[in-house]
Amino acid sequence: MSVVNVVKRNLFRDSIQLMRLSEDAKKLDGVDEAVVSMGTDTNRRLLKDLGLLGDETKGAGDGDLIIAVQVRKGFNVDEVMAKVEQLVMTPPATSGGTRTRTFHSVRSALEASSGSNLAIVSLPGKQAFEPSMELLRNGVNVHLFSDHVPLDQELKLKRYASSKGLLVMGPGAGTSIINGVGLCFSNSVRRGDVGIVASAGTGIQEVSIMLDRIGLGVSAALGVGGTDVSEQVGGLMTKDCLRLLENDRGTRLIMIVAKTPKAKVIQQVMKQVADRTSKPVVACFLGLDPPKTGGGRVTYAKTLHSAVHAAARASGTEALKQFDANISMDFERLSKSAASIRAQLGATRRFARGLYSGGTLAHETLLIFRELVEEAYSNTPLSNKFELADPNVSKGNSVIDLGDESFTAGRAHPMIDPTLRKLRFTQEARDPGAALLLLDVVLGYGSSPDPGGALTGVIKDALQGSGNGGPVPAVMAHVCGTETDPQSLHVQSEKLSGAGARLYPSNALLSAEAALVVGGDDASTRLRQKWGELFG
Amino acid sequence: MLNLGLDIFRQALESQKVKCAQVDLTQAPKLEKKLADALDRLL
Repeated sequence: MSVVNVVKRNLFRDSIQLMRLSEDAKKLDGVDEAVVSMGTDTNRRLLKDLGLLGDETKGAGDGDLIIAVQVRKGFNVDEVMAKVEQLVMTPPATSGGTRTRTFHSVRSALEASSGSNLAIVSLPGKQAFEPSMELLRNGVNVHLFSDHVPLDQELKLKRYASSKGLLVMGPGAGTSIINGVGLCFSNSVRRGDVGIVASAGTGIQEVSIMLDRIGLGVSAALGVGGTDVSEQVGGLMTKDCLRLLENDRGTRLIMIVAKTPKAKVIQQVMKQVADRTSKPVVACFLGLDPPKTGGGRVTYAKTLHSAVHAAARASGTEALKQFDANISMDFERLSKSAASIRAQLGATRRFARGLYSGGTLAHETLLIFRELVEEAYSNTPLSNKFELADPNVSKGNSVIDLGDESFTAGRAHPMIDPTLRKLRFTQEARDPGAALLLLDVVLGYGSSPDPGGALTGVIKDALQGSGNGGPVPAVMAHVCGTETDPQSLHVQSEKLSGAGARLYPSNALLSAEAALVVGGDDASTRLRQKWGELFG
Repeated sequence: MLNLGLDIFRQALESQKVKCAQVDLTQAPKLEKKLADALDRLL
């Protein structure tokens, strides 16, 4: 077998195209393994881990494309590589149907699609400003998925949009649901009368799927991007979205979800809630003590789980009954389950390792660990002291956000491409200190067609251990999805539980049980005291 | 709707029966705007 690397200087393919090219290259005759990727540090590390990194890539940068192939024994290397290169160099075509017209400028697309008033923009952050502004000038609202849009450009876009009565949802907005249509990463949830505004992508997903499970639905879920609640942006779009939801006749209850918001911004947002809204509001500011504003209509929630519990309480006895039946677990049940896990772990397996694809879910787990055990290490820690020196190497209790920029530069998000998470999972399972492996499995539009199935192999391997009968880590997973999602909740749940993973109805419950397992009696005492604020 | 960028999001919209025009600007830096418009008129 020969490993061959070819570098194509200044050739760009987006992360999804790269993932598909890798899959297609693997299907060619004579190819044992193939990875087509941009030359970022993360990708070079991945190639090294797979034994596919050659000397030819020295000097390749983020803007260069690397083709790495392991050629099967007995095949002519030059002939195989010629076929792979031909595949990679063929200009990407729009896939999935012949009726879709592809345009090469915003103007021509607008001319041909008169009446369009909403656009998704997922261009590289540095290229997103001009097309977004052009869309706004033409009266089109923008859902800006792109990250790394400079702050001054975000402000210009949002100020202009606000002055014209338009929305800029993002940058970095992973999820929205408008008129029942899910944008980017979103779940298929029932329509209803709960309006959500959130600067937390998987926060919207977790809240909306739990609402769906208790028979409530979403009137609109508006993702505004994490930086909207920074001091510089001042919650500009959060406030505009609140105004829209207040004026929307189809919205009865408003939920606000924010990840690491700035206290000053939240004070302004809640002042608007107090002064200019009349509807009941549930506010979940992850990682921030609730301000003392808002009035009696406002319920503050510390977790996404308790936010949905508050929404159920504000919606009548049937919703509460459904919440109890489909989501709730009581303290005793959780404790008993944690004790049974602990009994199967050896003395050396003491730490939890969370491998998350959803940033907000990772953040919620970090917060629950801080409440019940101690702060966990992370690549996106709650405080600098707990930042992992190397995000690729865990320490103690660690919660890794694999969707963070340090892992996604030049490759597809882990909700789409499970490769990095599978490698990391195996790495953690081999660590004799790892007691628990925590996973979120996010379903919905935009996500991998089979995220649970992709993990079953590594889960089975981890639970089998080295085959000597010694203790193995437990695998705990939360499936963030619904029955009507393209991947189907029950299909994915069966795959995961069939592989041996323990499943939890919410990420907060999974995190609390993990804390009980690794935190012992102290964590149990704390959880008993804080049960009401964490779980409603 | 319009989708500028990742094709996977267009596919997700169309799976929800939403009409969507795909805009590919990956060649935009190399193409003058007028040229891109002209190209779209020709195609």
